[in-house]
Amino acid sequence: MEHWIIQSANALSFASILFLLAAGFSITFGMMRVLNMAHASFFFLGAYIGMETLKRSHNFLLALVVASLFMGLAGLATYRFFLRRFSREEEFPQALLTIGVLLVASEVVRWTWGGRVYLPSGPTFATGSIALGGLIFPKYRLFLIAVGAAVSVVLWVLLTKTRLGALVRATADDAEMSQGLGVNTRYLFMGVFGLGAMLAGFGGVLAAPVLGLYSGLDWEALLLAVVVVIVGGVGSFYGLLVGSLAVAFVDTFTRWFMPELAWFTIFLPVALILAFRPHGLMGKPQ
Amino acid sequence: MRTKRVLAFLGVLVLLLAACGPAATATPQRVVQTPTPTPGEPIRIGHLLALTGPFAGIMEIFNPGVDCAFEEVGWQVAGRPIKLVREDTQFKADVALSKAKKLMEVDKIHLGFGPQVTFEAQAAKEYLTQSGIPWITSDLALPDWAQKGTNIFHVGPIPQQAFTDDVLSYIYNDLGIRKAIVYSQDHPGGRLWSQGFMDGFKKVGGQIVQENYFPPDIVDHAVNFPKLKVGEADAIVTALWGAAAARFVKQADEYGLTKKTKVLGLASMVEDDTTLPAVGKSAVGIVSLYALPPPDYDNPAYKRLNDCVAGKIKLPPGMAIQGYLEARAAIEAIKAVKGNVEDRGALLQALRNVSFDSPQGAFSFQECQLGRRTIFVKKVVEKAGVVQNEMLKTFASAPFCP
Amino acid sequence: MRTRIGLLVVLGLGLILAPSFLGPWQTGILTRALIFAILAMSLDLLMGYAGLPSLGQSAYFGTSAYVVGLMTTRATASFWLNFGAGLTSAALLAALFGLLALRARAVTFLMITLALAQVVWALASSGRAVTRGADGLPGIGRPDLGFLPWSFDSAASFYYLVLAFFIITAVVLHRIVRSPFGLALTGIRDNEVRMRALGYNTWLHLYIAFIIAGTFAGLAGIMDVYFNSIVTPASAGVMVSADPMLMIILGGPASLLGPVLGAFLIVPLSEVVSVFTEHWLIVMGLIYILVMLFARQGLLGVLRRKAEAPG
Repeated sequence: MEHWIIQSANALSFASILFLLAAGFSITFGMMRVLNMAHASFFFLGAYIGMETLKRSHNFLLALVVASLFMGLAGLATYRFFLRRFSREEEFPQALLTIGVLLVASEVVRWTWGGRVYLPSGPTFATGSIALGGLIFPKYRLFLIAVGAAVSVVLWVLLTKTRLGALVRATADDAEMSQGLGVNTRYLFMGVFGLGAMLAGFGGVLAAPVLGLYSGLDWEALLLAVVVVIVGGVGSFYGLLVGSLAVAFVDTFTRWFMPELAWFTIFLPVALILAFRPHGLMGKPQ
Repeated sequence: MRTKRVLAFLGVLVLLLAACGPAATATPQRVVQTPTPTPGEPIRIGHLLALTGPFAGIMEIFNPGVDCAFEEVGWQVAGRPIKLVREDTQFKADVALSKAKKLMEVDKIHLGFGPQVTFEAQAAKEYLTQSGIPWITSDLALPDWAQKGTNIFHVGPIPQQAFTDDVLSYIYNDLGIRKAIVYSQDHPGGRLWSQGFMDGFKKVGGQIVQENYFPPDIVDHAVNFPKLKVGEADAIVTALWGAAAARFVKQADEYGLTKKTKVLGLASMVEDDTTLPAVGKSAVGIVSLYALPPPDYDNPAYKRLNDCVAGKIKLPPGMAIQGYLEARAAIEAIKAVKGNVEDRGALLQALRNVSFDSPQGAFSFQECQLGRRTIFVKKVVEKAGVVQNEMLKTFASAPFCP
Repeated sequence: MRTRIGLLVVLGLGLILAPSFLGPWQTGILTRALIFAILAMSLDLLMGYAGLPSLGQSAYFGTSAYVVGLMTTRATASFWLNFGAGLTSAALLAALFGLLALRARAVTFLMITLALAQVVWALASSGRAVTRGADGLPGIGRPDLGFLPWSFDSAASFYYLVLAFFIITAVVLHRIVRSPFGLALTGIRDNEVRMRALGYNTWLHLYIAFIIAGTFAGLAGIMDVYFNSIVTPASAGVMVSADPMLMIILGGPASLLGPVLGAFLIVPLSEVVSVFTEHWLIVMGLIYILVMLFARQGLLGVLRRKAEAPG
């Protein structure tokens, strides 16, 4: 029983990381049909910027704010100078261009910080572990679960309950119509894209104390983000939520119960899920 | 229809050239070397290493060691300047082979270092052997890489050298590890070190409670912890590198695993220039076993290298020593032939005979061209707020030749 | 038409004569470019002509490489037997995976093909008893074709062997895309519903294309294993699927020349640039960005525009 609780908590903390990582990717791809492979770079670069800020200020909150702001700006710039030029049918040129951005960002990070591993610490109040009965669990992961839950509630309200969310969804469905109704779609899309990048930077700083930072993390993160979005189903908040939880729980419990399948977790389930539900767990046939 | 005729013409041409091609290049291009050295002409040395890809973090700290060895002699040996050409093998077998060819044919190197990745080395092996020049590598998870009488050298260490009877009885008696859980990355290095440990450990009466192998890029070790039969064993013996090593150390601390059991790290798991700066206090208490000394090692060659490496990367030399040994062996051999690197036979012979005081103790090659090393058992301690490795005991490496 | 034949003659002559002017190093790079060109052309049949963006060609590339590697090291040195076994295994695997992957289209198709290919990679990595895991299977010598009087040990002779298979691939794929079958594929890409309404069995068309593409990816895998003399899980890794995709987009999709151009740009550049700078990935990234900013139809699009421009 103890193990069940611990493993579920492990899975939840992993799901939090996946949720923060994939949120921006899901919104911009699902709603705006912008395929941004460089999304993982916002996560990656944000984490390094957060680490530098933390090293200088010893203030985790400041690190979160600084990394989010920088990545938000980077997102705005990526959209304004690169992605806005493409129509939604031009998925392949978008993909190749953003892979170019990813390569450049990846190598700039290696140039600046080297390929070595860093494992930044979390905020002081979330350092160490708590012991409850026979259970020992790191405080930082509880903090991560709490932040993940909070961010998902905020996003849910933002996307489904506010005027902004309604505008985004309407514009995603029919940009011309929205424009006709007086919505400045250009700024709306740019704003949403910036928000997605900001979330990725925010997630990168939060994930760093668990995942560590090293050359190549960006590619691993990209694969995970894509998997979460596709498994959950493209284009909805619920898909994102279900996708993060499903991937995290399947991965955790497969490794626990069937360690011989450790090499196959994530992709074997993904292949099976998609073969039987080609539009993802929560997706609708388009 | 014209397309057809054109294609037919091209096809015939291919056949013709294919028939002539091999005739022209049938004999491997062994350039006859002039045995007389040209004074002032640089000695060209190539270095193959995977600077990009998942091993980038480890590869980049080889370089300061290589550079420091050459700086000690002012980038000049026997009156001839040293020219070092570094090539990125990109963690790809085909690129490694290709870059080896480039170093030979374009740069016309006299001596080479690397490759440092198992499958890269295997892909390039035939070509490297044919090339005839000395190739020196380190840390390759291939026990039979170097062989007597060839041009391939390996400064080591390999696990069979590290697990001598003395080392194992120290682990069994002094460290009190009688029953062990093996916890290893599933890649050539992990498999080799785990197997090397288990073979020796069983011989001195040790017992393996459990073996765990998992994909190298594992994100969360905590998921594996409930399976480990910690209650039945004295220690977890790990073979971990890079991000996986750092995550393990931190998670083992956070989940209270290090309080319940000892951790013995094989190979470069918690060196002062790799994992330790990342994990800090979490690593305190971990014992590790490898051929690299701790930062306060009392040895003049080590102190000299320490000053040089710290000036470059602000860290003590760990893996840098591996690079240093490759370069220093080359320097000593070149000195012995008085700079006449054009005489390959003499250079190879000189390399087989090198012997010098290195930053990890006396160094020379065994007959099988695998380096004699010192094995260090170290423990991570916290001294005045600084977390670093401390010496427990040193051993001479086993006279092992595959 | 005339410019096209002219271009082919120049390219063909260049490819045939190249080893006479180049050393083994450069010839080796061209050999790898040819191998990747075969792989990229096979993918283009799916991605460019049939509109199916597969990110899983590594499954067939890797499988045939492993089959050839295992046969050579454990069973027989006969090239034709191993060659046949390699191609057959790739085709059979494609026939199996096609059933699953073709339940979806577009991005989901891409994802299923990727996931299936990763399963093959995981098998190669974990099946130590057979594949030796990450150690790989080393020591696979160059092939001996039996009836030919020369060996393929030298860089130039092996280059010509790969070139011959490259030409065969180009000719066969060219015929396929020009056939009624190939035209139907393009029709399905543009509007599957309409093609179905016209009475075409669109699924079967795509399924056959999937198997053909898988088989040619297998051919590239066989060439690769003989070239490298070792097969490791990296042969079934995601980069083997992603690289040809980049080559197609960079060169220009829906034409067999585009992927070839892409392969002959990316393979030599990533090696030669890394000779000059350790930060070669930045250069590659900038090339992708610039080409897509100024020529999103790919390099072939630029060449076509030049050719069509008067004067």
